[in-house]
Amino acid sequence: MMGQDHTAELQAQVNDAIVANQQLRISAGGSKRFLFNAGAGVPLNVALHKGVVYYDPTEMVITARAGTSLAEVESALRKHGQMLSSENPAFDGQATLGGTVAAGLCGPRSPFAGSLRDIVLGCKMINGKGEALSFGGQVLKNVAGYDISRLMVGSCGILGIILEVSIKVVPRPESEITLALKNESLRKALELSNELIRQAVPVSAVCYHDGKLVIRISGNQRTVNTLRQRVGGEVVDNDFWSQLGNLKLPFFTADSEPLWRLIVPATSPALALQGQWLIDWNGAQRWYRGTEPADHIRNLCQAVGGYATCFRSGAEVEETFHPLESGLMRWHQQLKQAFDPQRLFNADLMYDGL
Amino acid sequence: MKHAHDRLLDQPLPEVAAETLIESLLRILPAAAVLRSREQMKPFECDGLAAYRNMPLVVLLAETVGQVQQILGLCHTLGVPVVTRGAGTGLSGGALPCSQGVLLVLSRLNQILEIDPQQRCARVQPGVSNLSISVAAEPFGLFYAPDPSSQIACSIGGNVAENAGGVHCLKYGLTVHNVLKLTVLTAAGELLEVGGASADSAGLDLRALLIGSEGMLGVVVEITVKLLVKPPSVSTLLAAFDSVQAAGQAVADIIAAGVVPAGLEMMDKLALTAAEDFAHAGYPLAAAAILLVELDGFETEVEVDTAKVQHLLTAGGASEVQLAQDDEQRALFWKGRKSAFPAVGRLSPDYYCMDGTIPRHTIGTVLAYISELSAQYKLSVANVFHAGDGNLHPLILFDANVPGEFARVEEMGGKILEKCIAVGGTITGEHGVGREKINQMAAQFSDAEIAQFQALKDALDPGAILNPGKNIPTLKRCQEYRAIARRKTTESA
Repeated sequence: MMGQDHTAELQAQVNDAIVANQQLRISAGGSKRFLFNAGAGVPLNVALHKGVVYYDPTEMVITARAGTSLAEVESALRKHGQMLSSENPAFDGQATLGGTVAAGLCGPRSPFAGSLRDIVLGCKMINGKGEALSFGGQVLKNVAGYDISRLMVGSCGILGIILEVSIKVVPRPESEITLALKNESLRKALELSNELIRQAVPVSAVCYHDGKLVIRISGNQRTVNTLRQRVGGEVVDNDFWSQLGNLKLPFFTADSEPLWRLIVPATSPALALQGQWLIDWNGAQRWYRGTEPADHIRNLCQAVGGYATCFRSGAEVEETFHPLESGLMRWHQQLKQAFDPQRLFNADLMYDGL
Repeated sequence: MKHAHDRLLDQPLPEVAAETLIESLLRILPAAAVLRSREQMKPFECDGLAAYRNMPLVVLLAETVGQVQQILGLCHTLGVPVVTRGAGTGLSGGALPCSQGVLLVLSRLNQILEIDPQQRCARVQPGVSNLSISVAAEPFGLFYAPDPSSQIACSIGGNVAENAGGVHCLKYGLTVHNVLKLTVLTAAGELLEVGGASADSAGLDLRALLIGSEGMLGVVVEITVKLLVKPPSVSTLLAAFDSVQAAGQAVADIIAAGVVPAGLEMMDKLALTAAEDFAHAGYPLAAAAILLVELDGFETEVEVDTAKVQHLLTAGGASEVQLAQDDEQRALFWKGRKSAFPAVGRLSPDYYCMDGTIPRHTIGTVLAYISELSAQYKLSVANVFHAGDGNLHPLILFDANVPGEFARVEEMGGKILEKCIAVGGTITGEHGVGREKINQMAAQFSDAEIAQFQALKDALDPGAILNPGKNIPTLKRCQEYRAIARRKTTESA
């Protein structure tokens, strides 16, 4: 298979950093730079450590190095009629597999077919002692040792450098259709989508925006034809979901108001925040564009059992991530200490002091 | 005995002033919930791996989260080991008591606190049995997906600790895919909420870290599980093959055709014969192996996939393909599979259940190796295989009353696990490491990896009171294990 193994070079850079007590900032494609504060540290780029190292369609597993572009992974899978269920944003083809895992951002299909944390089976990494370690593996069921591979998803690189990831893949549906149905309220729209889900309709994405419930149905040709008739509505190009996942819809690009990603229990009522809304994940992921104060947004989310991430700040620069309760923060600090005692990797990127 | 605490190879256990401890415990729990006599403690000396037995200092039957919190606070302060246990159906000695510690039993925390049909989730206490969640969700047309064979008895807290699976993992995942939120007590008794009522949560994914951590990092006292919509259509196929290889190839063909069955199980001749004698499921006794394939979901999806799978099985050389005609026959097909362990148990005074996972395409090689070992050790083996996800359960038959026989069984079992690693798999798919596979951890992981696990454990349980001697071996034990392995290789060469 293609690509190059740069483990030794990366380890050498970490070992140098240990000796010099030099903080490092891990990067690859740079596609999610907009999301993270610049922070301290010498850049450490893993983009050259790339290539698919194992892919067997009948095992439903792909293993690739961190610097491999997401597009390359997807194209290898497409050749065998498979895909990643997490539908992660490729951000103009810049996103790499390592960065995708580290950021943990998942697309419209993920709550229905499996998010990244659901499908990561194994990883190789370099910890803060410069050791190359391997956890998990390439099989679906594996409970030997702690599940460090899944811990890497959304870890923002604070525990170490992700070198390689093994991911469970799924068959690409034979057919898909996107239908838009006019609906005056979020509550009514979600009642309809949940009614379809209760009937076991193979729904693979649900969005509510601009007075319309947009639903994707995936399955064989017969299923899709049958449901197109039964569900009704106007047919929309399936590309809608890629634009949504990659934050390319006009909602995201229209102007420069602060942009927030709110994760809440899916059936929560509409939150009382003034501004524009786009609801994804059948109600669980809500994009909010508006100028309400950060604390107010975070408090409202927390009150319903959710949290808020600031994707784009306004005049006041906001912390990206939702503050943690003190006991959880302590666990984060202790884990950071266990993996990266010198705080070499992405210091302060996720939370101050981590 | 391998499972006994070894002063040289395991983390040293503290000296515990038993009387002081008991006195303090009696201030937390009523006297009837503090079991101290041999007779009272006997039922708790082992879990589902009955070959490993040990008496704790005391057994505690906690009834409230507050009591659990106080017990942990006390044990943390006094440095007393705590082994947490639910129904005790685990198969790796994960709930094996520690002589100098308390056995904390959570079976009485057995309430289903809430079923939320709108949000499709349930909030339950750890002592609730796996099956009772699905029973409670049934009126809403919902179910809890992971279904280990012990689901009537096993409790959800133990499922979380072991990341339990079942026969429907390929499509529905393991416990880690079906849990939204955990309320956990740290080793010091601090209450934390991990995960959320929705897809993910802020910060690191601690929920994934806790699930499958075998009671080493915290004590889970409340669990919010995902409930799924019961599929309106189900079809179950039974196919007979003349060789295990042909059955294995049929599994690969089904996956390659883009079908994701809800269940995909394989049984070899000894296993299917025993199951048939026990359950009268209608299994074809002339077959060398059978496959059970279950498809579920939306009607037209199931119809099309059933036809596809029927064709693939026949084209793949199945000597017989039966489609369950009704729910009764489907239940019978599954009864045979689900009772395979006790059925095999009737063939022999004792059996030892292994739990490796292998890449599916290596099934032929691995089964051939197991039959070689079987001949070499003169021990019969029945094989039950979650073919969909590669999880293999060889059942080694033996008689514990024959001196030295269990030692040979363990040695042979160890070789099977090492083979699983060699072909790219793992020593445990769903039963956990526990005490049982503590040595084989050294075959799967390097010293640096073991040290990283240890650092993680030390970070979250600095007093090392939670389930000592399980899951992660000391580096000393790893070195000893590797030295013995090297000696054996030199001798045989």
